[in-house]
Amino acid sequence: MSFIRFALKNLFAHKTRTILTMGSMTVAVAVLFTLVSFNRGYEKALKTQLQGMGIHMMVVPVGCPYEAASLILKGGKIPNYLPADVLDQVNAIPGIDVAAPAFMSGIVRPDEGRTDIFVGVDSATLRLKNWWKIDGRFPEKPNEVVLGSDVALIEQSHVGDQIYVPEKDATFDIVGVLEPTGNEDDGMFYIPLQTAQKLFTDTTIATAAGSVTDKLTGISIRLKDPDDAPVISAQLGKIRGAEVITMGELLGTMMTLMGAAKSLLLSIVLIIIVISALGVLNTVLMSVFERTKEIGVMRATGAAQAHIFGLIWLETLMLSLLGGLGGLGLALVGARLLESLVKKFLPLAPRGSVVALEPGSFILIVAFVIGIAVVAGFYPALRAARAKPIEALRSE
Amino acid sequence: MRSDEVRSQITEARSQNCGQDPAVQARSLTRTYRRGAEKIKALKGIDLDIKCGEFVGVVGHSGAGKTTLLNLIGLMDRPTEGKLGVLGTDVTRRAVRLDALRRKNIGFVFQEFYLMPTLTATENVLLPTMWGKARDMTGSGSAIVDRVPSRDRAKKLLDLVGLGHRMTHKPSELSGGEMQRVAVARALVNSPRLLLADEPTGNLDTATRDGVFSLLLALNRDSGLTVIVATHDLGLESRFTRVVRLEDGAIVK
Repeated sequence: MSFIRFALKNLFAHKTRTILTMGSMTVAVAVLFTLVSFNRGYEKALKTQLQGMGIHMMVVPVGCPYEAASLILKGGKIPNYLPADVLDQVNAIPGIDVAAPAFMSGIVRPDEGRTDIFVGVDSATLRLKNWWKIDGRFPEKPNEVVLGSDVALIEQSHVGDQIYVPEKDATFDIVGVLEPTGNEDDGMFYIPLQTAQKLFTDTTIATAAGSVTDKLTGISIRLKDPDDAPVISAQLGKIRGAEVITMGELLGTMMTLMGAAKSLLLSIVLIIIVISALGVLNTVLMSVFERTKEIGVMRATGAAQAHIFGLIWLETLMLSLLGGLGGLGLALVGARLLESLVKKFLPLAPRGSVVALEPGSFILIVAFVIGIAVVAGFYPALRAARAKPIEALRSE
Repeated sequence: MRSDEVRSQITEARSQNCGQDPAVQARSLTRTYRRGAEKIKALKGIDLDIKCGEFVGVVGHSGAGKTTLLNLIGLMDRPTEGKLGVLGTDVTRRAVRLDALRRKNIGFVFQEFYLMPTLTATENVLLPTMWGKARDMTGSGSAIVDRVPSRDRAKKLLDLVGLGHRMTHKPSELSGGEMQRVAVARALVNSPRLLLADEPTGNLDTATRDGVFSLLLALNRDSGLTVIVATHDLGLESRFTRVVRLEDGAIVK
């Protein structure tokens, strides 16, 4: 009979207790693995998405640039507009390849559980997003629209159809449908810039000098050389009423914002893990107390202290590993389900999967579980090993 | 291999390993326990020699020091004072590793059987082999070899104690006598040079008691294994080749 088989038999001598302890470990590991995978996946997806935008920096209205940026990404209304002359000032800076003005606004449709995001663009956007493939053509007349591929699917509309926007009492002719891009672009309605400014400008905000219909919500910029970003960013920062955010900064800020929530979640998970480790320790210690006589017999039949220590440690390791592997299995099955639930509540939900089930996370968690077993098993194993054979045999 | 072959190999093992050394040699052997502030002298400086191949009964009333003596000979405890030699090794020296010596040389049988409840009879018999290398009696030679006894060996031993048909039974499915026979087989699995039995028949009815005692006797008679039995059962005294009577921690006979 092998040591492992003997340890397993000992563990399952008290099935209910062992299964309950394993269960607590399973839950703790499942939560930890999901959280680690979610965190990595979210970061990766966000990075990919931002890089996929082909934009090196954005000029947004002064105020809270990160809020503005996130609102633009989310398609909400921003609390301030860029003055009309900013675009000319931006274009005057050398080193800028494309500066694409945009006016973005959303119409919330609570009954349908979605927000329709209208983006006013001009031909500069076509140059910025030169990978776009449009089935049809880019809007030229004021009442023309190009639909993102997801929008076309949701609206079940094709080139040549019309869509009516009751909130603005406007009708648009669909002149093009974007081929899927795999990013936010798929979920937008693209209309001419002037049309968007006319329809969506909030006159209570746009009180600065100039026409109320020449404001912008942002200018997306691609540089000729991305390495010039710090220099050009500094130049852009001097423009009145504008603030600059680079994609690196945006990503960093998002991660910082997420970091706080992540720390809180990780603390909770760590508490769960400490509790389950104490559960493992308690189970093994109880089993050691109950088996004092058996340990005495093992010593009487020739087991050295090291054998007893090893056996109890092995039992702890197996208990933790079985629970841990169960947790990993549960996480693999449950992660997708959890993702679909969590994505609804994420402030900046990237497209695609936000759960990255990576081998690295798997190894990390298994190592973590082994670590717990090593720590939780040490005291019971030491206690068992120190029992003197004749005292152990005499115990009741 | 038949049971009588196992017996003959036990004999051979004994003749090769026992040599001229006495099985047990005790001089002024003392063991004192502390119970709070009180000191209890369980053994009071006894002298004792047991030769290889003897079948010795250590008799006396409860509390006379029988178990203490067996625990010392069985290397489960160390004496407080005096000298103790077991199979030619001075075990009072701190440098001696009692675990390894016990594993290789000594088989224990207890009054309460102490079988592992989760293990089958076979697995119980093989338990001592988990702790290290065993002395093999099933090979052509009988010297210590680097080989862990197999399931076959457990079967042969269970056959020897008359339980070849109960190999897969757990202790809860065995009678008291059967459990004690399994315990005897377990004590023999590492081919010990010394078999110690502490009240082996104490928990058994008369008929079963005789069966187990006869088994120990046969192991000594047929194989020449040195067997020391502690008992307070006066009815068994006449069956030992030699009786050591203990009273209040001292030998009186």
